[in-house]
Amino acid sequence: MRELLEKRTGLLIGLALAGILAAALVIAGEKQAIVIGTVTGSAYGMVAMGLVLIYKSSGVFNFAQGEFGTVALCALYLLHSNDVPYGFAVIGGLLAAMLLGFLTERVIIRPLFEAPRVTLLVATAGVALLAIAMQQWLFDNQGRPIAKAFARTDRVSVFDVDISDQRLWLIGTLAVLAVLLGLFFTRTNLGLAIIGASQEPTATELVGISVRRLSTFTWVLAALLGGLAAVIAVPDNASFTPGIMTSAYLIPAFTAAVLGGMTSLPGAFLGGVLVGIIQSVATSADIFQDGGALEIPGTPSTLIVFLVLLGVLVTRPQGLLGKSS
Amino acid sequence: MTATLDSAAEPAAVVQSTAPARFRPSAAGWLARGVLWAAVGYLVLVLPLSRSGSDLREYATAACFAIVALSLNVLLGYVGQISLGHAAFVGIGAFTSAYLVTVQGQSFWVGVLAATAIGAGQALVLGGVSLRIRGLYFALITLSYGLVAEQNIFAIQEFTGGGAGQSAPKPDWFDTEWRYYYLCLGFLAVVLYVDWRMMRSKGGRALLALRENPRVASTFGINVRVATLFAFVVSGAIAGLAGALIAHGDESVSATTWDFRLSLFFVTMTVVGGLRSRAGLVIGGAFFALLPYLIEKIPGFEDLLGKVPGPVDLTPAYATLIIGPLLLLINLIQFPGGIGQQIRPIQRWMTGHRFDLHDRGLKEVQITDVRA
Amino acid sequence: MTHSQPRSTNAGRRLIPLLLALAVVAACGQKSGVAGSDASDESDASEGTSAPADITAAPTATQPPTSEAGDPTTPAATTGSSEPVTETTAAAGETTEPPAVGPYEPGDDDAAGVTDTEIVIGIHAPVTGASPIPQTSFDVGKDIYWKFLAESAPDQLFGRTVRVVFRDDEFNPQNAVQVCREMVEDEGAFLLVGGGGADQITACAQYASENGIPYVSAGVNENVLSDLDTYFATTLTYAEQAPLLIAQLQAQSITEIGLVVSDTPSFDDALDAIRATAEEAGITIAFETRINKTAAEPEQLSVVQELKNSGVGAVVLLSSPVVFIGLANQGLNQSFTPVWLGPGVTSGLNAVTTFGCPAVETGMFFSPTPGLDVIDGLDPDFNPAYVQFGGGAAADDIGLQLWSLNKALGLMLTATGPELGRASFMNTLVTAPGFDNGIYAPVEFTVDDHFGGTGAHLLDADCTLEPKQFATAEQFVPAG
Repeated sequence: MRELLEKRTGLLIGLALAGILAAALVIAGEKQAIVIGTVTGSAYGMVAMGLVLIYKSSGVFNFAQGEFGTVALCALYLLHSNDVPYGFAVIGGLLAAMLLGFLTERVIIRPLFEAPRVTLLVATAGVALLAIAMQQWLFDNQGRPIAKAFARTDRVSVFDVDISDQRLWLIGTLAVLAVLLGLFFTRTNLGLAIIGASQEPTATELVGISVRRLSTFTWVLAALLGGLAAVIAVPDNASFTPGIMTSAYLIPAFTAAVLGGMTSLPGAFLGGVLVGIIQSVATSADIFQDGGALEIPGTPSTLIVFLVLLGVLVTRPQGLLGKSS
Repeated sequence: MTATLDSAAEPAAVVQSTAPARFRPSAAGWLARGVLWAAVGYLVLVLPLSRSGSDLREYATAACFAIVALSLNVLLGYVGQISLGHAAFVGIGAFTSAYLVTVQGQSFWVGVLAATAIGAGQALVLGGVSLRIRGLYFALITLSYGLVAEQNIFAIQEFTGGGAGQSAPKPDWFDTEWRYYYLCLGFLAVVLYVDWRMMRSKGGRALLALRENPRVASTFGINVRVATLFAFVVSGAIAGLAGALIAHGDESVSATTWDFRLSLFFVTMTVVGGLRSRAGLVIGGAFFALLPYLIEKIPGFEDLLGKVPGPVDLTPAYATLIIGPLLLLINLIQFPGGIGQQIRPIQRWMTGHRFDLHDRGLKEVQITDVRA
Repeated sequence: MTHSQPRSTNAGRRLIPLLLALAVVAACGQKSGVAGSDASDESDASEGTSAPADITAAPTATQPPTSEAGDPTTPAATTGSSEPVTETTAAAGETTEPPAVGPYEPGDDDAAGVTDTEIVIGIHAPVTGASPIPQTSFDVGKDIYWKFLAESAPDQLFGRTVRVVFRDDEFNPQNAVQVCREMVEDEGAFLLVGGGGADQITACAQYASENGIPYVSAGVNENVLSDLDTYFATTLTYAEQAPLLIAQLQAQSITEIGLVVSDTPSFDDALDAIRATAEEAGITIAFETRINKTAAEPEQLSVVQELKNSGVGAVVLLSSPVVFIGLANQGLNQSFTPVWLGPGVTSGLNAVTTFGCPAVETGMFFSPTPGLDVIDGLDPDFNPAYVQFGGGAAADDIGLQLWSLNKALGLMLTATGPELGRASFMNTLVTAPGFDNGIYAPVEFTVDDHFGGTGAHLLDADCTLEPKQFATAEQFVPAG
């Protein structure tokens, strides 16, 4: 029992903090922020999960994670507007994302296998910038409409905030994936091999597992997660612009992943919701606005997210749910 | 010709300090080296004089970007910490100087000095607070700080002059484009010298030892945190200086410039330039700053782009966006040591060594890992 | 020695699949809706169809022409069709020898950018960056009017043709200053034109003013710009549109509004004007907030939620199209569909309906130019000119904005007369009774007031039309 407690300190701290935060928000009259944060932050969480997956398996900060998603959106848009049924278009989108993930691993990551992680960070950023530039050119830099799978928006309402069916699917998918991936990494041979390969690559090779093949697998899996996040979250807003998953989701997702501990899949989910709540509260709370007691110039949420991130990392460098090494 | 004069003087000076005793180039070898030195000198110092004002502005910006690359290199190359918020450091320097000169009526030199000091100061504070945070986590902190600068600090109207930006006039005597270009070159030379001196000092050797192996370094009495913080402060100061120079070169500075993409761009040009290779960094910074300009100037290139099939014409604006990252990827895969690694044989040869195509100084150029 | 680059030989081959991957991305663009454009194709001239704009520099210009769609007798359509030169002379006469009076003294570069055969005009606009205008529209539309004029009335500009130089300012004011300087120093631009983006226009106009260069744009903010003596706004500024907005709200019997404004100080004057006018009219601002132009999803949803909580029937919006579409979509998901009403240029672009429908259906925006649905009635030359000179590109609203601005500039250049210089041009602007291009409400400058707009059109988003577009709800709504 004690061992279990020690193992789960992070989770307990996280849950306790979440409880305190929720109570504080209800008292402060910002209860809607809990719903808004959960609903929108789950999209961050889903992108963050892909980041965590890559980081866990290869120690890389993957700046192309967002673009895996935008490419899926592009393919979905293209297929659907050419009269492919929506379900098949979604599958096509996910396949496009996985293809980009596969090629990124094969063309960029593999030649740099021995290279430092800074180089890999820059390389993935290069992939993202290239993908965005291509979209900007081919779309003449304009947005496009995109249909959603589930049209109904007023089935569920919490604290007067309507949660669309599309969002419910997002949250549901996220929860299921977090559990499945958690089991995958702790219970299956393949999952354990991936973790082993990241920690002891030589030993893993010695026992006859190809580290490179595992690498391809994780990148494709991460790209699938990125694609899923995009094709479920973005159509709820009915339109997308070139590079949207990078410009609107990637940085909050990184923050979410780091807050959660960078190695923890539930942590990524929790971190996403936390970032969503912070952004929501910072926008609606009067004290941060012009003339408020704690007036912040510009966009209040940016500064508050930064301070939270700094605070968490200074006091707990491994993040809220991360394990200290 | 002035070119011949240059050729006589420059290599001689270099040789005295660095050439090893066992290899001395022949007379013809000296002449060949001299010609190349003269060509470089001509390209950098003489040729720009015949260009238009807006061309010279591009060259001045290129010199400033080279300074930014040197600044990032101190962090990335010497201590292995990555900053994804360098646009904020450069931008705050730019606004500091513009604010002091335009709003407070101070002189350009006060502005530049203050920008350098503020750059060092914010690095000291940010670095001091986040001393415990290392590697990629530190990268996230700088990234997040960059956003704070962009969306909070640059939203302070008195400081930045509002959405349309702050104007930043050129200093008195340097108010023509070519004089200002030389001023930027001068500052670049100063930064190069400071960088060179620093790496030859005890502190610089400590930094390198730290990068090689922090544990060993600390057993030799090197305070890891102090050394890291020192590098961060130096980097911030140089970034602030570069910002001030960019602002006054453009005579205008606005918040939109200093975004996350620019930070990535800075990292890109530094890595492609080649960490710890001063020549590579300068070339990398200048090349990426001049990329859109070069695309426009290559004759026939625009027509060639127009022939690329696509739903929309591939204009130079779009081509620049695509070519930059493409070059980055090719460079990373083919030449991980960057430009610095590629030019090393020539560089060695030019400073009076034997030409050796395989002398890529790999051990020195390769980036050691960031310790996450 | 091969130790250095073991993998480099394969790297080139490795890159090819990546490019293939990006071709997937590329494929997305195929459906981009932009007609295959061939901007370089200058279809050679058939007979000049109809007339160029006339110069109704007449006192009657204060009366906006009432438009009857399709009526060929609207002023712009008929006058000057056969004798543009005579018309010009008459107009120039009416403006009482413009070069002689007015506050502007010729500087050293007074006639820069003007030769006996050519006038160079520099335009900057964002075609990349945070809130870009489609580049294709811009490339095609930037000089169609001038091509049309050169053919239909070659003497209108006294034997000169207009060459348009275009530069992308990347939605960045600092960059706008650079490209404006380039257009003046390298391309020899006689005057500068701002194509869009309040901050970029303000920054470049400051540069133009410091150097005595005329700068013309559609109306944006008045902050800073009101102090610049070479700046001229051809249409209503955001602040000047405040009474129009409030009148529209009253017409719809809306008494409680929300106010959402982008957080740039450039909009401060408009914000103050809207607050003041609303108060006078007894309209309550129930919720007010400033929003970042790159607002994240939780921020957008929070703003929408607060608007919804405050129960307002309309939201007055002063922001970029991206923010508008974001808020409208979040609103639709919350079953919150107020009237989204705003001043300005960009939110009323058809690009907004193209990818913002159905959420933007309740959007209404004032605009200096009317919708494409009524343009044939106001200016029958526009569509034929696009067919003739557009290289196959369909006429769009960005093309119409460029056409209208260029047409107004044409009137101004003609009125200045053959002795064209920067000082005489600006003197003509401030002394002429007005310029009526038939599309804008008449443009009237005085020595002290360079905000020349006198009215605007009201556009209403219509997602049922094909293509989805902003239709004209009301033409020539007069200001003040």
